[in-house]
Amino acid sequence: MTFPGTTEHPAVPPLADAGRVAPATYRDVTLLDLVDRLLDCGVVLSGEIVLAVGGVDLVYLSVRALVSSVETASRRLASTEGPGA
Amino acid sequence: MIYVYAIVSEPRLALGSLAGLAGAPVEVLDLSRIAALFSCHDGFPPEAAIDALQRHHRVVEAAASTGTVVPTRFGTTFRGLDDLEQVLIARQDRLAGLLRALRGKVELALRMCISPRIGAPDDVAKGLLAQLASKAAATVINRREAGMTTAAFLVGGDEVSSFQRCTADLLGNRPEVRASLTGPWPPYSFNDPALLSGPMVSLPLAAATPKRSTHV
Repeated sequence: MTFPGTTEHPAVPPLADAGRVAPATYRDVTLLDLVDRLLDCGVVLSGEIVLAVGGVDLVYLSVRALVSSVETASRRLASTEGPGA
Repeated sequence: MIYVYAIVSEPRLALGSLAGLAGAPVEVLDLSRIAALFSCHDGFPPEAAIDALQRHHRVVEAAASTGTVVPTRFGTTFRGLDDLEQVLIARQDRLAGLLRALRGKVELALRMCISPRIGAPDDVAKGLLAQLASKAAATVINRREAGMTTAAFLVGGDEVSSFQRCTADLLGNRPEVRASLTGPWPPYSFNDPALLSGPMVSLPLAAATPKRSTHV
C-alpha cells in the first residue's frame, strides 16, 4: 500500500481524462485535496485543538487563494463547456 | 507544546529520522492498544503553511505505510504529554475501534464539477456518487457549491485500481462532468465510526446553503 507524496504522483492518473481538470494540474489538485484533508478531516481528539476551535477558518484563509483558484477554474470550465458546446 | 500527527496501532515504526513540523523528531506515546505520534515544540500553534501541511502529511503517510493509522486534524496540540495521555486513555476504545475498521483501507478523493448547463446537475451528481459509493466501504460527500461536489471513498488497499477504473468508466465519457480522483490517501476523512458501518451515502445535495465543507 502506498500513499501519494506531495511531490510524487502515483503512476495511475486521477482519471482516464485527467486533462479535463485543466488549467489546474494534477499536482494542484493533489495539493488542494491535501489541504482539504488536513484542515477539514482527521480525528479531533479533544480540548487543546488549537486550530479546530476557531482557528481553522482563519488558517483556511491562508490557503484560500489556492482553493478558490482551482475551484473557480473548474467552475469556469463547466460553465463554458456544456454538453451542447 | 505537544503536536499530534496520528493515532496508530503498530507503534513499532521505523520512525528513525522522520522529521515532523519544524524538523522536530517524531516520537511515540505507546498505550499498548493504541499509540500517538507526536513532536514537541515551543511557541506553537503552527501556521497552516503548505510546508507545514506537507510535513504533517509525510508523517501520517510514513505511519500508514507500515500499519493502520487514524490521522489527526492539522493543528491538534496539547499542553503536555500528560494531557495527551489522559485523552487517549479516555478515548482508547473508540480509537482502537477506528483502527480496526480502517485496517487495510485507503481513501480516494473525488472532486467533481457538473456543468450547470445541464438540467438538475445535483441530481446527476447524486446518481453518479451513488454508483461510486456502492463500490466503497464508506463514503463521505461534501457539496461545495452548485454543481461542485467533493467526496471521499474508503476502499481496500487492493481495490484502488479497480475503483479508479470504475470512476474513469463512469465519468470519463461525460462531457458535462469535470472530475479528478486523487489518492490513495491515508483515511483522513473517515474519523467517525458511524461512517464505517458499511456502504452508505449521505447526499446533502439539496441543501440550500453552499458550505465550504461540512462533514455529513
